[in-house]
Amino acid sequence: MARIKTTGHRPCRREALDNSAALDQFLASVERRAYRMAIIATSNHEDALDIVQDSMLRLAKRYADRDAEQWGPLFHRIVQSVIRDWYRRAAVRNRFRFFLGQKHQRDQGCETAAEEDPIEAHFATAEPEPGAQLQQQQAIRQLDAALHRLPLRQQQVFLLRQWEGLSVRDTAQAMGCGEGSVKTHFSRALKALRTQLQDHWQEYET
Amino acid sequence: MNEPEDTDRLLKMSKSTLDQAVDGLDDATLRDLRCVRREALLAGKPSVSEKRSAWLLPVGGLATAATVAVLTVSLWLTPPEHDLSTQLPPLEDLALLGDAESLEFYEELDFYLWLDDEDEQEAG
Repeated sequence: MARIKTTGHRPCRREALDNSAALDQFLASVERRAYRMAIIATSNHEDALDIVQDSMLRLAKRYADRDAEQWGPLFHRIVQSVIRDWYRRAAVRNRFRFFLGQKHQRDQGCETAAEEDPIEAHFATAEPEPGAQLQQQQAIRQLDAALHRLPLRQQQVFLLRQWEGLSVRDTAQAMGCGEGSVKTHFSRALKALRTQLQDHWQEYET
Repeated sequence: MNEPEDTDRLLKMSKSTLDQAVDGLDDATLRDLRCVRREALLAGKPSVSEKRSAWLLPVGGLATAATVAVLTVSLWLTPPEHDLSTQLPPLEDLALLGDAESLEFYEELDFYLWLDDEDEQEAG
């Protein structure tokens, strides 16, 4: 893995202001894609915003003084790391809720239907829109849902490789894993997406 | 249609769909993202107090070290200006003043000391 070197000089006030403006410009250029990645992972607007803000904050606090060309790879890595943290916390929360839910059902002495998955519900309850826009919106929703159903690592690898256009090596750096893992995850993601989306997307083409 | 073509089509469509989703983000989301970015940049900057404390930290440390060094050297090198033994009353005097024996005993103390010396000489 390539080592990132820091710049050797201490910036003066003018340079710091220029750097701050450059960082603002960089973040403005990546925030929408970062948000989309976060929304695919979480399917929740507020959580996605939290992930984007946390990632921006980490970059600004720790790496603002790095050369601007290093911000891209660093930001990719931070975003993926923050998303993984969110997943871990969500998994713990869900286990806790599951435990409390079971306890509540036992306490109530009745059987209730399992609660609807809010993530599936998010993708299922969008308002229909007319014509081509409707078709586009449906394609986006289906892709979002299919990506969301992938295991997180497959989802991340697919988005970084296919959407962000990172090389296998850069994806491995951003994910903090080996290049072999990246290839495996990408191949599995592709297979799963083909199975899920093929029929839907053939309809749009005809 | 064969598998490589399917895969290629899937990749192209997924990329274009993801791009369209970014281009189609609504105004409210874009506004939220701007707010989030502004807050992150503000919070990411070191505050004035942090800057000040960061600047003062080495200066304060140096000042403290210099003060301690000066005091140590001064105490080490400066000889005492006054001989304490000349200023303070002899310890014997203090003991005598606090004692309950009669004044006559102390007035005749030289006689008793002489008597004690004589006894020791005879014994030796």
